[in-house]
Amino acid sequence: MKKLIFIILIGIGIAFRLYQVNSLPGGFFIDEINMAVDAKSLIENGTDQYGRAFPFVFEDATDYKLPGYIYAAALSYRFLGPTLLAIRLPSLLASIATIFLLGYFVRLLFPEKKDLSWISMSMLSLSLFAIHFARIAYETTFATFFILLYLVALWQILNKVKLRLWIPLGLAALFVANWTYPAPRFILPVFTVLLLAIWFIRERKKKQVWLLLAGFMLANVISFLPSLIFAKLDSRPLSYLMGNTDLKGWAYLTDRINSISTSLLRNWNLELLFDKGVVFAYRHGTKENGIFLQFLFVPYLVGLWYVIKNFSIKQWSWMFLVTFTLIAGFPSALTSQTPYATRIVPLMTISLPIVISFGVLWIMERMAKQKLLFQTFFWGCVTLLFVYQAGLFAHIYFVHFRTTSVAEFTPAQTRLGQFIRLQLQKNPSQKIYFLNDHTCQNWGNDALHLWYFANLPSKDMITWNNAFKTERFSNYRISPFDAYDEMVPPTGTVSGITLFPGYIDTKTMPTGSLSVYCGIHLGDLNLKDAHVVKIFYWLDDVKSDPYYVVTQRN
Amino acid sequence: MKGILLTVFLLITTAWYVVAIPKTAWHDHLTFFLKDSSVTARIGIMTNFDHDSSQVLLTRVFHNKATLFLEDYFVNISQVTDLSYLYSLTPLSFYARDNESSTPILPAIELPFFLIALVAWIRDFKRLPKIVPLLLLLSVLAAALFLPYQNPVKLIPLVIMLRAFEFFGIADVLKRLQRKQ
Repeated sequence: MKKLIFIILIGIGIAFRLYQVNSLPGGFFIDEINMAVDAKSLIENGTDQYGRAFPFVFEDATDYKLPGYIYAAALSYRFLGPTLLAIRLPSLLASIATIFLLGYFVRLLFPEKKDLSWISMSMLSLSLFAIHFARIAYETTFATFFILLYLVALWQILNKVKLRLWIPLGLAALFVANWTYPAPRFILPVFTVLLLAIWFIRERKKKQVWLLLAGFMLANVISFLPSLIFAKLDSRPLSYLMGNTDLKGWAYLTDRINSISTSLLRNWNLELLFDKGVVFAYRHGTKENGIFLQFLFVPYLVGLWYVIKNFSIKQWSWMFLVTFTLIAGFPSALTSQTPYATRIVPLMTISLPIVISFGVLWIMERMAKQKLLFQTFFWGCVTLLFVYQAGLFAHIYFVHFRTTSVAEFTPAQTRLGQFIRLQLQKNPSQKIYFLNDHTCQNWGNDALHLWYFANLPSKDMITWNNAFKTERFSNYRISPFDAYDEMVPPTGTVSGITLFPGYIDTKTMPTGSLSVYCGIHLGDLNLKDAHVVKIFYWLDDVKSDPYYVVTQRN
Repeated sequence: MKGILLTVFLLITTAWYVVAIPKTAWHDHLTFFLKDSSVTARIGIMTNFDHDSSQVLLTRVFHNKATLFLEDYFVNISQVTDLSYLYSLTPLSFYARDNESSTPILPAIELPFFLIALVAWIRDFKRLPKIVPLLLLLSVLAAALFLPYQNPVKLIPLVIMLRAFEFFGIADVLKRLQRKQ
């Protein structure tokens, strides 16, 4: 009976991940669209969006990216084509796989607590934070699966279990995690070196394990070799480490200590975990949900108490879990004063569900000793609370978030690109003018969306994209990355579509041609010889920030 | 001797707060029953998302004064237990409304003693009279019974109990040091 309930809970969490996954959020935010065009270009051309053949480092509009996620997305693009799901599939699959891998990990660490692994899987499956990150393309979810796989491999190696299987698996997980997202590049080497030190002090006689751990540490070092070749790869994450550089000496040091301590402590804040989540941006969450369902704050507090009470340096399982938990908070703390969503994913996905599970298990064991009537009443109340709060989450995610997320995830750009693809399929010789100006909300960049959703050939777009890059690097005094919002895209022609900065008078367009206007008021368009075919609103509910698709009358 | 020291410590802490806090702060946002006009506006914002008329029932179930009131109380509890704010690591409480900053509550240097005391107490409940953690819990619940504005007055009971708890932490450290010697 218990197992059936846990299976239902896990199933509900997976259903939340899958429901409307190809339409909500309804568009790509800037990192996603850059990964999308890279994936498309890799499959079609064998190059990134700037024409570099099978690169290790991917340059996008705002950052340099590690290759792990983009190659995985290219693989799913190969089968799914230019859809939202194609780019989000690796994240979705990694999130679901992490649920089951966490259960396996917990069973290895605490084999005597039989229900704990089921509870952990349920807690992770129902984590609102994990559900959101499963539905969007962020490297961190993908990397977290491999971090967990690395932890499982290390644990098996410590216990000398199936070394022939776990050594290669552990090494593969290490390289994929370290080459997917910056956070594991801190967590894995530091965790390995600490484990190595503790093992050396306590179990020096077990030489084989000691040597294997040292080998894994060496593999960690090797995984950093590409950083020597591509110096720009780590420059941005490293720049965050410096904190407030206006301060000097003692003031700087105390500011850094305060900032890091604050961020570390706030990873455990009740409001973050059970009420609002990370409110930095909608790509980090709905701002209306915590990381877990609200009523779980009780087992969370009980779980914290349980872990502190039972922690023992003599037991490897506790040492392993607590050491990882302490380290996993640092990638966010070292770089931001408040928990930064993508950097706390490993902590929130691996450690926190286990802590809450200890609380749930303790409550379950205590309840089992109570009278049946009281048990029925208690679990009835818990069921009601669960149904209400899961319903509230569903309401917020599938109703509220559909509206609130559009400022960052732009369905208008998706639909516009798909509309143009249909037009080109109907009439391949159709002349299309894509007009764009800096008054247009081009934060997610229209041209990249057009490239992906209208399925334009990569070779032409690479030429245009390089011209755009030259513009960014040459004409703006501030950082070319930060100046992206203010760019005026260059003119270019891609398979019959003219990309044009600014606006052309509709009179000058050939008869029958289509032109897309963005960032202009309808009243300012000369519609004497033209009419509006279609309007795509950026903010659909208030009918604002439209793209007008205009055609010339015969 | 310990009891005397603890009493003196608590008296001095309380006296400092009574003298240092501005008089106006004593009668600002102190009532649990004060009508909060922002609640209706917040419900309005939430229901604006629910364009579909079939969602009316759900809207009423999920967005109402009772749930907002409970949420506010939960938020207040989490704000008054934000250790980085209580121990002056940052001038802002987590998710502070309108970025309001506040005067430092307790010096940061005391945070390790609180953490030591907390861990020591959790690992052995018998080390501390039951009344101390109970009062600490009550002081948290009491401090949260106010509107969500940072107001030093509402934190007085909490500050006193935190200090009492820290005292236990300091005593524990000293005891361990003595044992080692």
